[in-house]
Amino acid sequence: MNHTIRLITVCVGMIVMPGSLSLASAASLEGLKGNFKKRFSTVVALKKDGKIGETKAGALEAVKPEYMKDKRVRRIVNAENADRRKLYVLLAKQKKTTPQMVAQRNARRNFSKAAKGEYLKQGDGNWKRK
Amino acid sequence: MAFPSNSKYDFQWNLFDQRPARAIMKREEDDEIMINCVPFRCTTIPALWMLLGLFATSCGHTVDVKPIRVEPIHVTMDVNIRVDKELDQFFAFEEELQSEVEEPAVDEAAKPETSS
Repeated sequence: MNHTIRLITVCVGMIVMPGSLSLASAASLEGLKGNFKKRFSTVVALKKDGKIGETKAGALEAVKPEYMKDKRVRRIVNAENADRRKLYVLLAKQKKTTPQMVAQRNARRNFSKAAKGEYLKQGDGNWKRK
Repeated sequence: MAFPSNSKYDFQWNLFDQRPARAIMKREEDDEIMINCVPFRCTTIPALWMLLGLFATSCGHTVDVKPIRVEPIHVTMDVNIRVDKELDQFFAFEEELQSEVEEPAVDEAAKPETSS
């Protein structure tokens, strides 16, 4: 009897688990989106000021190391990159690929969408203004 | 047993035997005398045949025409497209917010200059 109940519990768990996992990832995606939205205007402003730029690794980076001494820049860059890493992992799981690959695709997207005058870090490590 | 290596002997080789088919001894008076061949192990001819056989087999090329597989490229393209689509959907809010951020700047630029 106990064995049957245990078997039924396992079966139900196996059916419910993927659904609950996808719900959890959807919830965390929404949470991440909220964070990105909150920071968006600041990120855009810092990009326009030429203090931060996009890299080929799909992350934000200070154009000059001394800009990271600015508390606001440091906070935004670190928070944005932490959330981006989470996003890449979640999307990679969803699409059955690697976080690196998602990061590269996002970098490509950011490079193409970058506004004129924004800094973009090239593969050789040099910054280039669009 | 060694066969006498004399220029007076002329050999007619049988390629399929391992010994000369017959040896003909030439005499000064042009008489030909058949000499019974002593079992004479000649390894040169069979060795040549074997070499020829080996050469023939080693030179044979086998060309396997396998069907062209393009699946991995398709899969990679498919994943790239799906990831791009997902990223576009996720960051769709950027365009709305971008227009909100840019609007004040556009308005200011559109304002006519008022000089007093």
